[in-house]
Amino acid sequence: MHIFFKDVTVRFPIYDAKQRSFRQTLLSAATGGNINHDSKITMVESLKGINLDIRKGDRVALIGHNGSGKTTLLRVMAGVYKPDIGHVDIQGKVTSLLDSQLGMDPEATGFENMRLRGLFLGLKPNQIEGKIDEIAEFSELGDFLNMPVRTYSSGMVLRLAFAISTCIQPEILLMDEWISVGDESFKHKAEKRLHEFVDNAGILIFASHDHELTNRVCNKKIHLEHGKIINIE
Amino acid sequence: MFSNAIEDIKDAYHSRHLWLALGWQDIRLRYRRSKIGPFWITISMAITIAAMGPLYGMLFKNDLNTFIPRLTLGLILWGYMSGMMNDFSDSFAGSAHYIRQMKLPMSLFIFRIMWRHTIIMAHNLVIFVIELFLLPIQLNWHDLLFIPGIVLVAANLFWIGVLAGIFCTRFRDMQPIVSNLISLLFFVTPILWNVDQLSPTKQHLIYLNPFTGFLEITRQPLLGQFPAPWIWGFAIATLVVGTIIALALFSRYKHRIAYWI
Repeated sequence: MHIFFKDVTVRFPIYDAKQRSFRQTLLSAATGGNINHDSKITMVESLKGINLDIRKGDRVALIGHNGSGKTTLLRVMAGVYKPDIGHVDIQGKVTSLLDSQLGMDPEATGFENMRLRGLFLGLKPNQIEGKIDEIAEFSELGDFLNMPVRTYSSGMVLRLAFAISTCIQPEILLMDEWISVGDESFKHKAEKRLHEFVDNAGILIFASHDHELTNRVCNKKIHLEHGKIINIE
Repeated sequence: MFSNAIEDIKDAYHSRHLWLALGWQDIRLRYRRSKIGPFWITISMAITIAAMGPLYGMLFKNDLNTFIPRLTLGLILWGYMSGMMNDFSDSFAGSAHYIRQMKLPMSLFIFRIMWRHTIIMAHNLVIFVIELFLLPIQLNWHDLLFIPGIVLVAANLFWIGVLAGIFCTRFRDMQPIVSNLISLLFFVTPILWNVDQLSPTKQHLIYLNPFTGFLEITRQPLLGQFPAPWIWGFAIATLVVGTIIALALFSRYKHRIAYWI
């Protein structure tokens, strides 16, 4: 199990309205490019020359200001963006909890949402059925699970999302923020669950601004600025 | 040349439970708070047919017993094809929040739309089943050809979906162009009218529009007719050519879609 990056650069094309337009593109092709004053597409470099070597057991925190490339880096690890330069090699099943509420449908009931979110996590329907009781118990939502999620309070939605997301044990776990949920009593329980979850994951990578937390949980800190790694502690 | 695309489609097959669930969810979401749920689809189609059937039947001086089932199937099957094509233009951009969060096969979003419209079509076909009891429609062995017909049409729509999805994500002004094109196609496809209303020398021109062929190989079997072999051949030819182009482009641009949305 490992995550290996070699000189990874990710560039986002920024298209203006003209380049977004098929008619304009077609016209400029038809006219031989003579009136095409600026054919260069503006590129934003979100990640520049990233080299990483993360192995089993590593607990990695990504630190940096807003826009420093943390989320982009997590998305490259999740397989969302395939970098146009450099080489990425990831061994192990990646679970990305970049958005713990992904796939939640407010009109569907708690139980229906468990099934849908489970599918997003890569479970088969029969595997999900086996976990439903456990998720229901952990969420402490009781009969509310038969009600549409739109009737829940925001704290209840988070509880459900958390209970579903942590029902499978990931190999490589990606989180955009340390998940924190619920009122005092539930928070305590969730922290405990998350620690177990994180401890059992082969590799943990998460973005955070919380120094105390990263010191406590991580053995590696990657400091990003303007899409470059400035140091690894 | 096609390896990226084929791998993507394989992955989508393995996560079929996901797009089957998402497709159903799209339908249920829309009708969640109503008692009869998705049967609203059936009712609104039935009202359209009840209003248009007798009117256009009389305008074109057709026998209503043959015109109404023909129109019913025409509208249902056209709704299947056009509804899908309209949604294809938003297949990736509309699922941006999923695509940005985790690695998912891109064709999953095409299959989700196809499944959604298959469910809608199944609800609409109830109307035709009711007409079987009310109108003198003959059933025969040709009806079974509906199955290969609709599979062939769906396979053609898949490559159309891949192309429309890629183009409409990269070029944002394609979406209104596509919906204008679909409105135009409604009038040049024999839904309200019949191909044999034209002089025999002009009839083949109508088949230059591939949707005429797609409509005929699914509608004629249900009306007890055998679609001419060349219509099948034509649909297979568009499938082969279209799939080759779509898979080549999909292989090339699959990884760019996440950057474009």
